Amino acid sequence: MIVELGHYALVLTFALALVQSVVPVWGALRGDDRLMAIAPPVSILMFLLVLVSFVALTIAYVTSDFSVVNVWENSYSAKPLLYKITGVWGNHEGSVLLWVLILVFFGGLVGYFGRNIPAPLRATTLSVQAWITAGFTLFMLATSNPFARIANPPVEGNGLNPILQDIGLAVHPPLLYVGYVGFSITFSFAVAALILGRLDAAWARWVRPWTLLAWVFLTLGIAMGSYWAYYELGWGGWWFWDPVENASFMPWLAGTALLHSAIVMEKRDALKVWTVLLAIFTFSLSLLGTFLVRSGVLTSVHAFATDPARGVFILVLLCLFIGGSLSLYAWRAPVLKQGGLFAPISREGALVFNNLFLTAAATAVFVGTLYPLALDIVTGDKISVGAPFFNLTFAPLMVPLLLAVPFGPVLAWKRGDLLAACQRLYAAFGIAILAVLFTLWLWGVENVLAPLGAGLAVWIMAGSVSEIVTRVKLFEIGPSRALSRLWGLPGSAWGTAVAHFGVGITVLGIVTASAFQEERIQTMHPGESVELHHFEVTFDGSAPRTGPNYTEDVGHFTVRSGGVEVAAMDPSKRIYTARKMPTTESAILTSGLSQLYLSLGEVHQDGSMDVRVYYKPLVTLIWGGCLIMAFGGMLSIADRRLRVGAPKPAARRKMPSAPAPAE
Amino acid sequence: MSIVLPMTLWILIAVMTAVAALSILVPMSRKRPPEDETVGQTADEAVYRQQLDEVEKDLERGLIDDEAANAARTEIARRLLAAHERAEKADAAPKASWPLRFGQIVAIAGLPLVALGVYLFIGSPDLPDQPLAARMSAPPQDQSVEMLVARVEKHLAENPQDGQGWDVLAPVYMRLNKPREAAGAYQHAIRLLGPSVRRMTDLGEALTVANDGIVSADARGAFEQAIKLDKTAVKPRFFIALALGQEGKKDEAIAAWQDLLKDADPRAAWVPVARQNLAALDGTVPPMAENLPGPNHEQMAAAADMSAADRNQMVAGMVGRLAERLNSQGGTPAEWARLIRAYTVLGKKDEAQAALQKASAAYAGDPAAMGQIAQIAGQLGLAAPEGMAPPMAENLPGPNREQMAAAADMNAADRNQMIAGMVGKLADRLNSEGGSPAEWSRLIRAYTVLGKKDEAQAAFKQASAAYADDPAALGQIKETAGQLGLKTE
Repeated sequence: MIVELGHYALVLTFALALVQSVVPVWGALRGDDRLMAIAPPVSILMFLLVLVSFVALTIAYVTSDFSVVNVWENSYSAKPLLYKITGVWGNHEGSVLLWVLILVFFGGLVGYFGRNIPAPLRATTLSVQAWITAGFTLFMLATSNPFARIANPPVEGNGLNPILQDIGLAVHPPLLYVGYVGFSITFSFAVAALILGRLDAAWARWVRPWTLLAWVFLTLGIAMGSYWAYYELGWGGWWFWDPVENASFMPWLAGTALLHSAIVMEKRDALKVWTVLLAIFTFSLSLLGTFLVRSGVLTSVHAFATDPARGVFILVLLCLFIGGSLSLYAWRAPVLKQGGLFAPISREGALVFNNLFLTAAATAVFVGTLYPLALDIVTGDKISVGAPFFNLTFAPLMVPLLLAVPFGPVLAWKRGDLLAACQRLYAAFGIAILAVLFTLWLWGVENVLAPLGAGLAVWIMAGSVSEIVTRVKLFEIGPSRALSRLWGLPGSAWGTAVAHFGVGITVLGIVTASAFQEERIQTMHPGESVELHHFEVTFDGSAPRTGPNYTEDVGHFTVRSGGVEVAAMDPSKRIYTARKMPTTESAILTSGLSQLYLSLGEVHQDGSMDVRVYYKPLVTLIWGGCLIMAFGGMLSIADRRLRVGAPKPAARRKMPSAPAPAE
Repeated sequence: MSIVLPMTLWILIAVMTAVAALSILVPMSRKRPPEDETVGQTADEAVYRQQLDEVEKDLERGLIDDEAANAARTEIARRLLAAHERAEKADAAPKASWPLRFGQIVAIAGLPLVALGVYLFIGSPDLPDQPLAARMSAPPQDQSVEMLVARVEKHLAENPQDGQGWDVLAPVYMRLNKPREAAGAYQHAIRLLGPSVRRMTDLGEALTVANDGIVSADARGAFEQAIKLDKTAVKPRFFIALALGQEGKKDEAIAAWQDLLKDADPRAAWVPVARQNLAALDGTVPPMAENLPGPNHEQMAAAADMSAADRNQMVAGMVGRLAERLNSQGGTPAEWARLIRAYTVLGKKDEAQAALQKASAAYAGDPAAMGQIAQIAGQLGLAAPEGMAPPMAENLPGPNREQMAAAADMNAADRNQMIAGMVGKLADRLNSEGGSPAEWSRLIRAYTVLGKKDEAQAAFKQASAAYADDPAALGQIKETAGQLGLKTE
């Protein structure tokens, strides 16, 4: 009964979404309050109904109700409770349900908390959100129903893909989805603004927290996915330019651009049309990511062609939403009033620069991801676009962008003074030069780019620190008063500084881990040792071991540093018996910010093993930086103030002190 | 319980639908409070006013200087004025009431109609939840065979020394067509309870079935041990005779079959199979039992009684008619296979090879049919024509499997309700949802093994109707029916 109740709740959501799609937006266009008034309660109810569905499916998983096809296909009774729950979204149908749950959750939030949004904007936004909801619930009911039943259920389920039996991968999709789907609300706001033909201050004010929230979760989701790939795939890499990764990275790039252009719009009423376009692009890229991952088109274009029902359905949704919103944009954008003017050298100008490079980078990733697919469909040729392509296109775009990061916050609004900005950053620049020299001294001149990269990273970090330092006037008013000013700094100022600092940290991690990594790949017999950096890794022998649902070959290693034993590491190669699926369990030893990484290859008859040993200096900074970036985003959300960008007046007389930009 | 549960479901569905309808009706009918009105009208103005306050605060805190504050104030004030003008212009025209009516109708009629309509179309309101724990603890008569097996398996996993348990489970595995598991269970039972004629024989049988009807060395060892325990046991001797035939020890096999048939009850189900094997080894009588339209068991028995010359003539005449028909009108893969086999049996190897060529030409585009023909060709030791697929492993159980079934009959073990229930379920599913030719064949075979000849005939009729326009599938089903001695025309 619970299962069927969940099923009905989903159907009812679909019906409600149809009503919500039409009535409130109609009311908004007619100026009829009573029609608009249904939007908030219906959006909240839709969330509750999908929650009922999701809980019902979860209960079916927890109780191993194999009369539900989805449970039977993706679970089994002996699975630990945690993986029964995470198994709910570890499959196609369940993950689409989670997707829709987050979609209606955001709709419900706007319905519940959106009392201070103008009624027509709120009603229209919720209608647009309901279009997406209706499309995706229909998709589920028609092609991927998680509540399909079996009258005579089998005794045991088919199990869960063992690679998903990992806490990292279990937590990563919800985070990613909150990010992906969170951009839907920005999209709905943008489309609503186009329909109503009005973009006002309230619009920008409302879009900012949603964008930030989605961005924070997407950042965390991508970081976690990257760390998971790092320790589970056993290749020692942390980013593979894999299409699935790119699918989440493209909305992140566009979302980061949106975040910055929304600041301009909120504070200076400028870049409105562009911001709306970015909002549409960002969610379109999220939809594209969903399509790529969910249609199976990535696994094989041909597998997609043989069972096209799902893929074609999402493709149609994709075309409807992206094509529809872009057409609407082409038609309505000229109606929107352009906002404030600004000089090229100004805070706005810096943010436009940021937007240009981020969107260009997103385009590069887009081409690299979709070109092989398009080529396969058109000519049948299989090519793989990998790291070399992205290193040549993406990396050069990032360098000027990263160089410019510290300049943005120190430029004044409307018209800035580049020379003054440079003066304020000379300290940061000095520290960066020192960092380059230090790196050269430490690692030598073999790789010229690496010290420059490290310098770039330190430049960004020092730039954000100096931003805070100058804002509290540490050197002008003394530490004690500066401390009180520090406390008074708005959350968004902290957010900017912390997030930019995080970018620097991540860049530093990337540079050191890729340029100064040491690796040994060799066949080791028991008793043999390899020396790497300051570690001596001894292979003590291997032994088979049996886990609850797998068997594995475990290699025992002892790590010594300076003759002193520091750790024992046990990497293994597992075979999950139910699906005959091998996985690699690497062993990682974190020492300081660096890591020693051990992964097994072939196990030979004579007891020897192919072993890969990596020393990755400062590698943890890559993910640590992402966490700091997300934390910066949170700080900025927590800032409940209205933000005003005080424009710098045209210079009539010489200013004694440097202009103080406000947040 | 089973009636109460759907009732509760419908009540909850009704409540949910009512709440959904109310979520539309209530806000529509409520007069909106005036302060809400102001929010809607002047939200921008409020935002700009708050922005002005914010400038003051920033100035107080020293975040901006006077000049910047003044510039900001001017800019915000300009936007505030524009917003105010917009709000003034906003019309307060009276609203027509028909859209509201429309909304109300949608809420009361449209919403439940769509939701219930869609749900009744795709939902299964009569299916209760079936959590595994509840199914496990249900009374045995309410449980499916698979469920019972799972319970026994769980019990044995916890008490692996329970020999009786293994002994009970093993034949059930056999009936569920899991010979490998059955063999394992028999081995456990023999280890714990010691060997007996029945256990050894059944172990050998399970191993043989698991090995696609070929009596392996292990299986043969088991049968030999069974014979050591009881020299007169029929079933192990049957398998030994079969093994000798498979090994190509023709004379010994003939001796074994003759020995077996010497004091057999002529009505026993395995006798025709034994005779057929014997006849095949003799090289003079065609193995007709698996033929398509053609002689049934009786005719075959009659043929066995004829003189060798008469028999050959009868067969030659039949083969000639078949060849003529296939050459002029074509036929199913099974018919071609039958022709090829007949030629081989008659010793006309060249004709057989020619017929094989023709058949493969006729079914060049049909891999399933090609597989079937190739299998026959392989069995008969003919050279496969080019482009012909190797015999398909997933083809229906061949004649060997059939002999197994007959041999299982000798056991004279009464069929319990388990197998009947399984067959019933299969029949239900096939009748309601249809199924593959292989599934239909399994049903027909199961009925025959259960001795329900009429049901088997009826299932055959249904299957032929379902695949009336698919000659390959039809041929497959007919072949099964023919093997089982059913009427196929």
